[in-house]
Amino acid sequence: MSKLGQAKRIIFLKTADGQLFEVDEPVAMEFEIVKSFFDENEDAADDTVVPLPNVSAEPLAGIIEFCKAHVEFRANGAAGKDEVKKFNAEYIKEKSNEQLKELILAANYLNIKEMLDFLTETIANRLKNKSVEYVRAFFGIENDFTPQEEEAVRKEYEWAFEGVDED
Amino acid sequence: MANPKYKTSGIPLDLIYNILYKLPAKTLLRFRCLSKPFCSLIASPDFIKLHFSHYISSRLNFIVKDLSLYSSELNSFDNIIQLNDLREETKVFGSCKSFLALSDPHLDISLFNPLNGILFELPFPREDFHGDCVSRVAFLGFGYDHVNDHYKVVRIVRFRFEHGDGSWFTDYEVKIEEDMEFLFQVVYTGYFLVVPIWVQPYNPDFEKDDVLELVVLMGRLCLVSMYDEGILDVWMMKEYRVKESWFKLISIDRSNTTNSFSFLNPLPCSEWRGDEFILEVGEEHVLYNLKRESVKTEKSFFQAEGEKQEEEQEESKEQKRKKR
Repeated sequence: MSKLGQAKRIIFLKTADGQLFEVDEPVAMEFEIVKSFFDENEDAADDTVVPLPNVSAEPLAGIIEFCKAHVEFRANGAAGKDEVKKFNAEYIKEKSNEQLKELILAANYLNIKEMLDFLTETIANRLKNKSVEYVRAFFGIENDFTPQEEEAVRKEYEWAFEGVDED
Repeated sequence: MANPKYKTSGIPLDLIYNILYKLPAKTLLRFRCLSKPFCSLIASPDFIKLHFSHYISSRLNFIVKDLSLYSSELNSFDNIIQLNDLREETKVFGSCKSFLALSDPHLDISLFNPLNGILFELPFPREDFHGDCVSRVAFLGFGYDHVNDHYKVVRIVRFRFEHGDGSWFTDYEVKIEEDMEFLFQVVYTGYFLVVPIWVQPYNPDFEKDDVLELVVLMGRLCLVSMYDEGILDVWMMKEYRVKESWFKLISIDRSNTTNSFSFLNPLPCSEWRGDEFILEVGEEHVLYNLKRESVKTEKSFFQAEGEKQEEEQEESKEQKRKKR
């Protein structure tokens, strides 16, 4: 913060697809990668643009939305309250599997712990009643079992295959 | 973390791990079919330990009711799941790491692995070595010995004889190998007698106690005692095996809390978080708040499960309480 204390510092972020984002400092500092960029470059000018070569504009916009809300929750002392749960539920409701994957990859690259915890939890919830085939497709896992081998593994805990959602 | 044998596209393996840790055991057993590397990953002791610390110990309580074993979220009564049907009236007398320790009316002991639903009976001898006693009370404890890296089942047996009033304390040790695949098998390697070490009268009040219970709370050994007058004390051994470190953690006057129970006991929790833990009060389970020294009875286990009949019973108990 400058000596005058009036100007809210803005951090400039540039995505892989060339979009420029202007983000309030406290929100940008949620991203460990941005924080360490400025820790390592203390003399960086205020208009320094931080390149984010592994993140594209769409997930970054989603991440900024999430972090902005959570920074505010913390400032208002609302962390852990129903308000936050409501926001999180609403945030994730309309997201497709593809969008979730893009978000978690971006959050992982930017290294945002709180959001990663939230996203892994969300994905776990989405997958927990899903079939093996669904999850293979979700993560792109290559099945190296022969049908006989797979059947044998399946037989060991057949009850674990009950109550699985339709794909 | 790029490990070619897993052959996943896109999502790095460490992220997939972090997602798997947050899945229930049943899902993980199903996901062994994903591929060979995932199958061995999910069965590996390291994964199981991490899954336990991420998922089970931070989330679940275990409660036995009406011949079924249930789990609920830690220190709350949310998300109740029925795990196993039990043959006989069984009690969860301890839990730690990946196991629950159960005992039936014959004091036969089983270990239950919530990850795969396997119930494993320990070949523990029925205690029958003082044939001429007229009464005995036996109590069981289950814990993990960090120093020697093994699990212990402790049994205290108290005998009373017709002539005079003698008492014995006997404990057993059960050793289970550490480096096995916990998820899919429990290998039992034998038990042996050990000399009583720490279960000694540590306090003059101890002699008066007619009920004893061993539990592990917050990673420390606790002893629950109850007097005829209806006072329940929970003693904690602050430093393992240091006799002088016993101190009274809580003391509850039963008449101040509820009148509808005959037995009160802290439920062995895998972890005790915050100031609240679950007490078994007769047939009910309630939340006890250490700081406020209060028992929260407004919500109990089976109300949360939403069983109507049970709810009605709870209501009538509530009404009785209010009338007092």
